Amino acid sequence: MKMYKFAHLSDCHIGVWRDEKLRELNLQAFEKAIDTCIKEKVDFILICGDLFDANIPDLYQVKRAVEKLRLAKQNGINIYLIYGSHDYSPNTISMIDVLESAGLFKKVSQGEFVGDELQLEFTEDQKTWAKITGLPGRKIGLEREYFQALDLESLEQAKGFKIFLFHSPITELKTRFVPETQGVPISLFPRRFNYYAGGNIHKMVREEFADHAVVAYSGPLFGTDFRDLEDMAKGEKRGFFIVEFDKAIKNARFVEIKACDVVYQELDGTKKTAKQVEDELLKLANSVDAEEKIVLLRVFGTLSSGRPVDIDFGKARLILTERGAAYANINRYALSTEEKIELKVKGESKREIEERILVEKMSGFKVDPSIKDEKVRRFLEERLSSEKGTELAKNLLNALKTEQKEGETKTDFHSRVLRSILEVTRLEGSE
Amino acid sequence: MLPIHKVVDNLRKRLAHIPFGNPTFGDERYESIELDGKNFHLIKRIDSERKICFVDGGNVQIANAPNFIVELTRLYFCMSRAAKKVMPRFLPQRIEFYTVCCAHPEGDRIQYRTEFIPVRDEWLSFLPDVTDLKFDSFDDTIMLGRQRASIDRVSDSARVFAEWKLASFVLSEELEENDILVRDGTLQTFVTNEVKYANKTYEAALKNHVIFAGLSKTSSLFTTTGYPLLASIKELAESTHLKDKAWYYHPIVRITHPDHRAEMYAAKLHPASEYVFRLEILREQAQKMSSEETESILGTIANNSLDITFPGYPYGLIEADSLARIEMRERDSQEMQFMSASASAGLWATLSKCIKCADAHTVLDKLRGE
Amino acid sequence: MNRVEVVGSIISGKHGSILIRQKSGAQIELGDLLLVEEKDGSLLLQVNDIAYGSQISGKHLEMISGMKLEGYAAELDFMDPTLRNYVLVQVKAVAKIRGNSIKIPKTLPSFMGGVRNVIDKDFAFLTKPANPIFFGNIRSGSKVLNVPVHLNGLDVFTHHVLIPATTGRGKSNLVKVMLWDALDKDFYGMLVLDPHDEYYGRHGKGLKDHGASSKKLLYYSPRAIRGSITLVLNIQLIKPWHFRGIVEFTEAQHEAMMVAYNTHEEEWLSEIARGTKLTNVDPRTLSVLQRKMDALLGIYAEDDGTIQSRTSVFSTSMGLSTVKDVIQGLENGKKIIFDTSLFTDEVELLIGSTILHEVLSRYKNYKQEGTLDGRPAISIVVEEAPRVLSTEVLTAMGDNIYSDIAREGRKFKIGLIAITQLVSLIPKTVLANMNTKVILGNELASERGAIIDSASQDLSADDRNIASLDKGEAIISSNFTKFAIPIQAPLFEDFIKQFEKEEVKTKKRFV
Repeated sequence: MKMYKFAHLSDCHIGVWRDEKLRELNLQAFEKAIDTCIKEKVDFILICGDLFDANIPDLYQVKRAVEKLRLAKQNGINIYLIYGSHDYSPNTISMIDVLESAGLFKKVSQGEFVGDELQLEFTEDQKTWAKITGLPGRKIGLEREYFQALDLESLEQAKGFKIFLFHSPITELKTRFVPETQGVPISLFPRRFNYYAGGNIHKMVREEFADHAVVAYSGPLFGTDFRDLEDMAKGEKRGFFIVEFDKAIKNARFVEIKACDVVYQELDGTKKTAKQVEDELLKLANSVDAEEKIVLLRVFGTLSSGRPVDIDFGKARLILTERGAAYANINRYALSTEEKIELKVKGESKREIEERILVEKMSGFKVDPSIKDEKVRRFLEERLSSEKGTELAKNLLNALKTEQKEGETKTDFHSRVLRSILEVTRLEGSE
Repeated sequence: MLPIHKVVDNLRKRLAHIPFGNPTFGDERYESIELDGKNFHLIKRIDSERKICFVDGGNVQIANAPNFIVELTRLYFCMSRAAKKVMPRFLPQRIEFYTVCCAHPEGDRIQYRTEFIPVRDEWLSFLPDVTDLKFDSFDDTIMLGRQRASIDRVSDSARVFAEWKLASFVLSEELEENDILVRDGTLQTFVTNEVKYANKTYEAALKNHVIFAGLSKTSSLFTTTGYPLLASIKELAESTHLKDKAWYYHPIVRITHPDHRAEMYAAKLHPASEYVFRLEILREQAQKMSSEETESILGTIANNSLDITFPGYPYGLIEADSLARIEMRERDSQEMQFMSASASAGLWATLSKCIKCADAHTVLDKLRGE
Repeated sequence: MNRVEVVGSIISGKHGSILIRQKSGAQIELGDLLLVEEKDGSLLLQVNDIAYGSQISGKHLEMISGMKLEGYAAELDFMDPTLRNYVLVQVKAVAKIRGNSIKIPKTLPSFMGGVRNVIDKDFAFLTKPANPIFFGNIRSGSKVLNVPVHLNGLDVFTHHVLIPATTGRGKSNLVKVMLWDALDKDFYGMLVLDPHDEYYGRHGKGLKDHGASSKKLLYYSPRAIRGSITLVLNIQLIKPWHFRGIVEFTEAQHEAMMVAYNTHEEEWLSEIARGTKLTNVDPRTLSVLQRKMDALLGIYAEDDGTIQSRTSVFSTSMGLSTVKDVIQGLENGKKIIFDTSLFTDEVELLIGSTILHEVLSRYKNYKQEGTLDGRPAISIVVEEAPRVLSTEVLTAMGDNIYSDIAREGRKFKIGLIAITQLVSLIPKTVLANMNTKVILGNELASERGAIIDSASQDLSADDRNIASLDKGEAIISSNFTKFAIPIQAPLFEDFIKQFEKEEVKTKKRFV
């Protein structure tokens, strides 16, 4: 029986990094992955969401990605993908749509709502006859509604080699940091598919369930934030899966992609003076193996005297750069001082800290009693209370962080940001 | 042999089975008729359209002293037709009144005089004339032996007279021709002036063509052999084929006594009954009745005697007795109210002195916990 | 009072035990609610005993019945049977109603006053409270009125609920109805440990059929069914103190567990499974612990040190977010069912303990921070409550998280809903904290006694009432009700019919 191969990638998040160097490393990881696919002569590639980090990404990044994907296509490799939570927009066309219409790849999440039931259609790969379908990711776990509506029976009864693509955390496999409202339990997935290709979780996972034989997350190829990079330093592998199959899965191996080594060190500043911490930091910067590596230092704790601003972090970074570090980052968000009371935060990364602050602030939210209109009160309660409020605030913050693109006029930029805000708040079209 | 066994042995010797004998009354105005098995007649129950009415009364002493007595009396009547209750149209079904008798000196005699206080003023008209209830304390119709009659004999008589009077009202106001009224007790009168009330009642019965009867729970009639008359008749019945039947026995006696206008029967009103009762029907009515009519009347009474608690005894009398009866608890309550009212009026000190003359027995009872 | 409606007349008795003579033809039942209208309102009475009354003495009646049975006096019967033989009904006054207010009655009703059956509008005083939870309809005897009974869920659930019932009396149905009504209410979250898997509706109707179930219901089960979440707990989430009072360990074993935790933190169980030496801990103790954890949790180490799990419920790779998800769900007012039907008692209670320790800890923090008021209350449904609340268990193994919650959870808006057949096993100090009792039928006299002793109202005269409760019939005795309310919980399948909606099918493209 002929053996076939496919590659399972996800969460490439091309364009995610602000820093140029890291952005480039991320892109290189992607290019390496596609090159590997071509070399391995895979029959098709699955990209399970968040190919790009935004629905309209930086065009230079897009150009590089397209070049690689076109190369794959030219080598006879079909590409199938689904939206993730970042590269999709409900209100505007996304880059994914543009590239699909250009024939670069095919979105496989196609179907029809009949009443409340969602009937998905298979896309059949003409080379291997593999049947591929799936559900896209949505922000704040909204894709769960699709899963709940799914007509499982028709999917389960279909014959042949079947692959299901998804971009959601499976509840049973979630990490602690994913909110409760996000996550789809495995019971909502159609049973007895040969392979469940997942995205969204930023680590490599391979699990088996009773009725779902092979469930895999490939994780990102590089990483999208410093926590991802820290995980890499702690041993987390980055890469993608290459799966061999005929009528069934024969082999699924993880192919590691190493864009760059990562070094991670911590420095505890508890009960030390700012001067002491600075001295230790500089010593650390001088001793760590930085050559062509991404160096991540984390300074935390409560200083006995002095303030964090008294510590020359810039000098430490300079030392690292001079010593050949590909990139250096010093995380000091968890460093405080007894001299001044700062906000209590438990998180480490900027994103976590933002989330914690938002959670703290939103938890006590109450509608202003001076608002008497019941409809308005209800509207505000529904959108802004507890976790919903936190999520909304987070997404709003993200929407507002977006930068004006090269060549984009102020008016267009303004409209784009406004559209994002409307999408996040779901105000457009509401009463 | 234990003393009690000796008692039983004594009776056994002295009450050896005695032949039936014949009815004996000790008064020439009662001509007894020889007991004969042929005088039994079967009773067939009849579900008749006649109304049948029963009257009874009950009384309790509330305060009792040699020179006064207060009693509460309750009279009740009930009617039914073909086993269904019939409610009175005009008369109150229950009448209650206090009887207050006091001793009054008249010369060197002591007289007992009566007054009534009805529970409702409008009931006064149903009560006897108080002048009929004035007795000399040595009136032999109320005496016991040779002693001065006790004052409670007067108050008891008040109840009896009231029963007669109520019966006369019922006969006139509630019953129609061919209906039956049965009083508890015989048609015989005993006490001075009682016959007046009885006669008025008989007049009413005759005028309205209502059959007037009386049924006694107890009887002290004898036969010539010293055996109870009703027991003799019962034994006579059982020696024939009547053991498991309902029957009446007649004639027993010819009565010419002016105070006793009755025709006497002995009746066993249900086959399963253990009792034979003395039943009397107003003589003027009974003597004109055909045997069919007699059987109809007795059959109607028998049809009212089917209560399983006391087969053979008219249920109407059970009901009347039950509703006329004044229970001890109520009596005690009345007693308390009287004491309280007397005390409020400043009279109790005086009354209690009189009462204490008579109530030492009660104290002894209380010492025993009764 | 309309004479046609009168079913009896008050004839004697005393406060707490009033006697009524039943009108012939009326059928007054045990547990019936009756009403006497007075000048200044009306008095609500409840029947707690029924006896025969007769004008005829007992001996006489025995004789008569003997005659009838043996065939004597076939044509004889009672004359005026309804007047002389009748039914006496013993009632107690439960409430004095004046307009919309209700008070504890302190006077006797009018002597010879007529009583009638209650009708719906007699209960106009039963208004819907804030945060209402539906328990059933008012019941008078076996008759059900169209008057729903709601209690303030926030008060009731945070002050603990006891549901005593023997098997087959309808407690599952009652809890299901209550959960259905509560499902879409945000003011509290609920965790249900379901050892019989009867609430979700795996086979047949259940909470899954609620319109809000997709948003407000989470169902965890080791046996997948559509919509369920696999019940799996990562062993990193289990701490030594979660075993307290649930699994029996010696002092030495407890100490060893703490040492392991302090040394290895979240990896402590894995290290125990590997048999890793611990400072100052006897190797024999460790060895016993290793075996115990294997037996209890199914975890063991391979030769190469990899930790494996024999069961699907404790895992080294999955279930990392289970505790957090459950707690977040509860704090969002969700109702969460754990299907523990395949687990041993110890495992079921351990899983609950793991979650509840975190819940209690969080809510204690909120209280310290001053943010507790804005949080939803949390309630836990535990079946066969003596497993964690009985005197025997508490004496042998000490307190556990469930008894902690029973004693002090109220202060932190956390409540227990304890279901049990054997109330007598639970100490009075715990029962005293359970301020609402939903009493279902119980044929055991000793149990009824224990229930009555701990009730919020005086139920001393209701022993017979409780014994005669049929399936689905209950009495709610609560600090939050003015009187012990007799209810009938509707049959769940009938109850939910009113919520069923018609589906309208339209087609819409999905891309």
